[in-house]
Amino acid sequence: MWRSRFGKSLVYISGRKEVDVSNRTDKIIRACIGRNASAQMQFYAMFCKTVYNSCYRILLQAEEAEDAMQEAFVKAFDKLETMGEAAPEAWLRRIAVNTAIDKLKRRRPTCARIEDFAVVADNEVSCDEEEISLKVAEVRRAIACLPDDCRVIVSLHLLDGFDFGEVAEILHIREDAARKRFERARKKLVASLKTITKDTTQHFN
Amino acid sequence: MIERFIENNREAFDDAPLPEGHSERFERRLKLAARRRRLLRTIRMTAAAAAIFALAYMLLPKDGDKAEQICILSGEMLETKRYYASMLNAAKIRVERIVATAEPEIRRELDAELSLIVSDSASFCNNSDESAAIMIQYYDSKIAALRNIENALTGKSKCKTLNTKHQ
Repeated sequence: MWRSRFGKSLVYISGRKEVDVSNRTDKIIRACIGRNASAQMQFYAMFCKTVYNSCYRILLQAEEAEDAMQEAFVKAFDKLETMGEAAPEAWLRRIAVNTAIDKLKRRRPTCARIEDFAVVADNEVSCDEEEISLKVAEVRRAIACLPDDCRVIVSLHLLDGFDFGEVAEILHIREDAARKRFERARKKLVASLKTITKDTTQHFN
Repeated sequence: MIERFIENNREAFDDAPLPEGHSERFERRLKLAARRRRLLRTIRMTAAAAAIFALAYMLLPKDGDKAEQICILSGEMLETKRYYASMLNAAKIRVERIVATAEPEIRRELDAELSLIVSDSASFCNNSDESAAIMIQYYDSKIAALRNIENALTGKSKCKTLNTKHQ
């Protein structure tokens, strides 16, 4: 059974539907192991959005993020038999973030394109939703303003749901070092938010 | 707390739209990866087949070595012959199982090579110790050829030593 620590973010809800979706995923995975091209595309369609977003948060560049995501899927199809009982989404995310981090290490230092994270509210949502949408945009912008190492650790822990042990493994550092780095990144994030909007700072402090 | 806000609105953070045409690009990438995998497998199988042919050529007894006469064998000689025949058969089955997954062209070549190795054309005509040793050597070389084929196909680097129980 596949579950992320963010209950709300899953495609299936509860009871019967959960079982159906899980069975369907199992069938698709089995077909993917047998190199069925249509099943591979279905598997891709199921997870591409979340995996792309994980890569995008690390790389901050659409083209590179797409390349990392697709590379991660190809790698995943090659070793799908080794997935075992792991949750497909988390397993895939792990491959994707490793791929994205490798790409980030290889590339020359560049400035984040903060314009891509302009704080724009969705016009078709209610007041509450609009407020949340604005705050989400502000947080996203503040994360994008962080230096690479801080942004990666914030993304991995807060948004991708990896615990400190997993973060430490991904970044090849010790767990206590990961905690310290996260605390430092969190402080920078709050400071970054302060510069973006006063309201948000009040909300988050 | 920023953590709580993110956790409560987790979905909203995954809404960056994917670039247009990403599915088509991925489909092309998958096809390319599959083609590359097939090519690699063919190269590997061809290399294995070449190694097998070379080994088989070195290990198989030449025509001049074959005994052509019909004769009566002692009980012990018959038992040894049966033992080796069963070993030869078991090795043949194992290799056939691996060969079944190969590309059709390579499979044909391997099948031809296999039937050449397992064809039991030799007769052993007297019951002397020398004749027994020749028979054992004859079967050992066939079994070694099959084991080498099996190892080459399964990627084992070290060949197992021959069973020398009867030597």
